[in-house]
Amino acid sequence: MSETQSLLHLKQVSKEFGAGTIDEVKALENIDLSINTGDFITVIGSNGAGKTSLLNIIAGVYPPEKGGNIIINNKDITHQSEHKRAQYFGRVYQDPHIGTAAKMTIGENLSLAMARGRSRGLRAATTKKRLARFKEILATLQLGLEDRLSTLVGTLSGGQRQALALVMATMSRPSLLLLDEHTAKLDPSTAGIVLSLTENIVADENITALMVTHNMEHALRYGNRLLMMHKGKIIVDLNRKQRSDIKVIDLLNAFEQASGEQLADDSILLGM
Amino acid sequence: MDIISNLLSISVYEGLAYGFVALGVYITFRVLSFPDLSVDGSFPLGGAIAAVLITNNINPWLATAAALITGCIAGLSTAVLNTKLRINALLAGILMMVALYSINLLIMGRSNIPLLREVTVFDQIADLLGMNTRLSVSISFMAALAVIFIVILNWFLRTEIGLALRATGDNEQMIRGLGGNTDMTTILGVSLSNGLVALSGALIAQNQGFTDVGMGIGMIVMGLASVIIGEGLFRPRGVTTILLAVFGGAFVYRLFISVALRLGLPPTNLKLITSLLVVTALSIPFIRKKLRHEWIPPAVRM
Repeated sequence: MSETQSLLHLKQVSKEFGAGTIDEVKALENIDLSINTGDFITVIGSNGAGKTSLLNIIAGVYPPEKGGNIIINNKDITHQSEHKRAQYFGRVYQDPHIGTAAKMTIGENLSLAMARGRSRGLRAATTKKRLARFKEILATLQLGLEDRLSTLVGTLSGGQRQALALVMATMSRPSLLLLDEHTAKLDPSTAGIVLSLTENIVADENITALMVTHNMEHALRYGNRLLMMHKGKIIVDLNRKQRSDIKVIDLLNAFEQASGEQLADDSILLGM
Repeated sequence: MDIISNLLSISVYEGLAYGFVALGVYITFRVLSFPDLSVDGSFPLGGAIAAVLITNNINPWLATAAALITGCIAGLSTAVLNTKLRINALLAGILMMVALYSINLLIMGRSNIPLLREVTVFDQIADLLGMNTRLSVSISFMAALAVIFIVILNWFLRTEIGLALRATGDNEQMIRGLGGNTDMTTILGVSLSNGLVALSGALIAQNQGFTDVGMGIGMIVMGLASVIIGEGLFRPRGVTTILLAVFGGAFVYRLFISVALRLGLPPTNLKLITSLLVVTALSIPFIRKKLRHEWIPPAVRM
């Protein structure tokens, strides 16, 4: 597989909320985006820029409006339901509670994740063989979760749950991994652990990833391409080469230039 | 002594028979987090189907199976209203419950059908086992049936589909993101639940010798009460113990009702006793925490 093979195309994708009302918001406006296999793209932007909407529309939480198209591996999935297109996407949410099921055990959660992209049947979900494999996978996290396969996920800490969610999103090799500010709700040191786990898994498994972040430092440090969004549009798109000698302050300038606005709250974007 | 053992045996039978309603309520309310109220309609539906078929000389086993399947169809309708037409789960259940009242009358043609002169599954089992004490026949048969369903559910809830069903109630957004069809699991769970409830209705009608269109009133509350008592009393962990606790809760609930009746309380007071029982079962953990000065989470509105 060559590095530049195209994986996902968004063509003229738009999404409005509350159309025709006073609260009308253009979450996404005519987005054209092409993602190549092997890309690790970071997406940055202030609140309401459309970052999460972008992930939602790719994952199929809602369809695009006005005839936009979403194409993966040359297959049009614009109108495919969320659970059907889950075969292509792994996703880690901002809230650790969304990515894992609290009242089920770690083993059961992993078993649910293992079935992504396959049909679910009347086979036993947590066989000894599977549990042994889960144990191996969890051991690589070095969080001690491998000995707690029958622990209810609700008793884990936020960081442990998010690490588990990351494993669940990647274990059955998605075509594209969607990370939605998945470290934003963790304390800085836990966030660091989960981020380096993310980097390792993405590199080891050679997974194509799209990572939304609030943190400019992270956006610059990770991945090979950077997108900046503002008011539903992609206003900056930097490849590895362009990105290599850029600093946070340049990003802020780029933002002001491209959006024609002063960034109201730098701290949000800097998010140190 | 005789009175006590008699009271206990009756409660064991009733706990097993109504335990299927509790099992159904457990699947919707607890496993799926789907507050399904169609139960009040699907219980007499099971009785109606069984009674009409048996009085028309259909084999009672076939009639009972037909009741179970019809119950599944009622549950399927409720779930389709919710998943496909996006009607609120609570409202979908109420709509189905109300509709079933008329449907049950339509099926029965009148409000009460006696079955005393008909051959029921209990008569056939009694012949087969050569037992003549009615209550011991009823208890052995219901116990066998309960074991069969507990074994099946215990297996099913651990399969890949069963896990997806449980995840639908626990975290719907997650399981959809993992490729689970939550419409399908909801339909499956609510159908299964109402099938069990209708089965209970069909068996109880045959055992008591009649079916009545009004016999479903309060079934949800009874089922919920059994589940809550079972959870509170036996503190189950894991699928197997929860399934057993549901039947245990139904037994304790029926025991309380039997004792209340034996103490001379008029049957019209039973619903009040049920409510008080549930309030007590729910407030015990609260009071215990309060005494220990533990943190108590705020009440849930839905």
